[in-house]
Amino acid sequence: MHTLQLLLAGFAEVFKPLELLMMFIGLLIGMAVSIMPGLGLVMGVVLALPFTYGMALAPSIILLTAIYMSGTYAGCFTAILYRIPGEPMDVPLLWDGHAMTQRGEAAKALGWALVAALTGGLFSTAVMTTLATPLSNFALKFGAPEYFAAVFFGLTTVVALAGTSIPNALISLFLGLLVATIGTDSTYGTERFTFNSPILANGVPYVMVLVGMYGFGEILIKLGQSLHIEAPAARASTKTRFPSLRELWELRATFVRSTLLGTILGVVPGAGATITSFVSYAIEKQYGRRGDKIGTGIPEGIVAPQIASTASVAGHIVPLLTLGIPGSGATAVILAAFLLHGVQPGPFLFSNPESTLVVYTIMASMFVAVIGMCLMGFAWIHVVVKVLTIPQAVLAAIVIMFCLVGAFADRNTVSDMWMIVIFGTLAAVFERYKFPISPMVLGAILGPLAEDSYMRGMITYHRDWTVFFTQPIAGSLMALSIVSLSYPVVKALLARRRQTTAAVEYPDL
Amino acid sequence: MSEVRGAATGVERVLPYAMVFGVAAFLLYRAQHFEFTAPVDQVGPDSWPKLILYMIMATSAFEGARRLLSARGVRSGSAVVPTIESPFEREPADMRVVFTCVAASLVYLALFEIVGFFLDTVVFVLSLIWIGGFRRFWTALAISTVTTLLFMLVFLRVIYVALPIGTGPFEWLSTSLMRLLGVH
Repeated sequence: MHTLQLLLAGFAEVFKPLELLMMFIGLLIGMAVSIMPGLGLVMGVVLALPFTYGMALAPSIILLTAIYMSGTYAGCFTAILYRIPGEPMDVPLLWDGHAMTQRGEAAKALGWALVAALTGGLFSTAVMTTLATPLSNFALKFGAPEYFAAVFFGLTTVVALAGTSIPNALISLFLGLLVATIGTDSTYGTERFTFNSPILANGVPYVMVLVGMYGFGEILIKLGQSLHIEAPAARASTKTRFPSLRELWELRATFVRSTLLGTILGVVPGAGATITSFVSYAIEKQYGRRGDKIGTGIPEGIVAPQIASTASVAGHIVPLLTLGIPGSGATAVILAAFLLHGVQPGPFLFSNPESTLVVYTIMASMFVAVIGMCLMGFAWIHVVVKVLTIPQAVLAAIVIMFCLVGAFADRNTVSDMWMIVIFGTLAAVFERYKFPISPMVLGAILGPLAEDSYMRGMITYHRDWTVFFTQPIAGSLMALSIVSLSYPVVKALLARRRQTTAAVEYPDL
Repeated sequence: MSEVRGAATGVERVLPYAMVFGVAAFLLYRAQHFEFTAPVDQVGPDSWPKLILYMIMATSAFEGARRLLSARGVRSGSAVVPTIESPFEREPADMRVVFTCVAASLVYLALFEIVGFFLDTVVFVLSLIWIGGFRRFWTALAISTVTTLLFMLVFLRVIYVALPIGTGPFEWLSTSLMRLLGVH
């Protein structure tokens, strides 16, 4: 069936009462968590996960995707109005957005953010929807070596973009992969690292790693940081004023540049909304027509990061649906929701009409979510920003309860709650020693897929490991992985060389 | 960096790598003793974990040694320090608060099936609010009680999860509350 027909069928599904209700709730949750410093959109999807256990697949994914989508937008309100970034991705919005507020142009700044989110979200979703079927057809050609290489590429980019030292990111990743090996091996039925414990015989569910490290651990860290946020100094108006057509036309280059950047970077595993937002801001500063004025309170400084962060959502969702590889924390949770419903995302989702409809329902829901979040932002944000008045300590306690009871709800066992506490504590220790959390979580999630494709590849090709490098697709992906891992090392070496040269040439400096 | 509250200092900079290396070495020893029968020309279930463990040991040895050398004031010109400027940098957490919270969680879990969900959770939420720095006791107690009741309502009546009711007198308390909430 043609993509457009499938998409229309998807829209028909989205407008069913339950799906629409889930989207509405998701958009509200996404907005609330993203304006609250210390929570964030990943936390939002993590906390909503237990509520999807009893739901059908489509409304579950719609709920989580809506949280993800609106989580990239609503933070702009508190960043622009109160100088409170709900998420790291909102930090670039502070510089120009709040500067505009101080000049009495808050309504206009919010208008630019809204148009940017709408443009980025719709364009990126349209591009990714168009590419979904060709991508899945391409993925059908994947054998074990190609799958292994694709997972390897995803993991290495997560390491390269983890925002800390490469060795620490690698150790984090390997620990995640190691956690995934605990339990009974699927090929030989051998117990590995179970220490005769019946709890470990079934393995460590990656949901526990995910909720423990992203949810429980994050709150532990926030508690350790004294939960300090500055209360809004004054009640600012949340009124929005749209830019004129002439103003929009003047910023056409920024719109095109940032939308393309957000969409492309979104596909890169590990480049979440935060990195996309910062890169887009930096590119605008460097190449924009008024790049020298960025940071002084001009619309380009709002449009560039906002477009890119919203555009990255579809960029992340479609590789998850077509290849089964999550590239960010939020998509890892969405993958978990798929697997909890007994569905493995990947090219085979497109091979039967029922699951194809689910895929296009999710894509249609993303179009609706983009429009919905902008409408809700325009009309109701003054209600949503009231969550800022909830004491942080109370919020932290509630989130911890959601993590623990949510874990208990999965299998009705206290051992899962213990796992949450263990992985949460590990996340706090990781934070202290500057080990990034994302590689470990993604390692734990993708570990079984990586091991399965590694084993199949090695068994099929009789222990010939060169197969991962000599097959055309696998070899290309492995080469890309090596490049992505080498890039930060080469960059550091070049920076050191420049420093050494400067020290020799200007010893007095 | 060492003057920042909660930041890693001195020996602590090398300790994590030594620990990771040690744990990996122990697990590698365990992996040598997995019980399985695999064809001679095929990889066994120990192949993948061993590969990961070798990588962990190599990476932690490299990074630990590099940090040890740099801590001793040796010019680390030959070592590569691949770091990336990151927007994720944040204030270090006070580990005393973190571990107090972890201790509260451990006590909560230890008593979960004995005391039952309601009482255990009320006290736990109250303690978390207190650790978080909210010092109005009666307000905190009211919030923790209402929050716990809402959790019970949602998990018992919406998601249909059987929460622990405790033993002895705690069981009576939990069942009475559940009756009040309309759960039988």
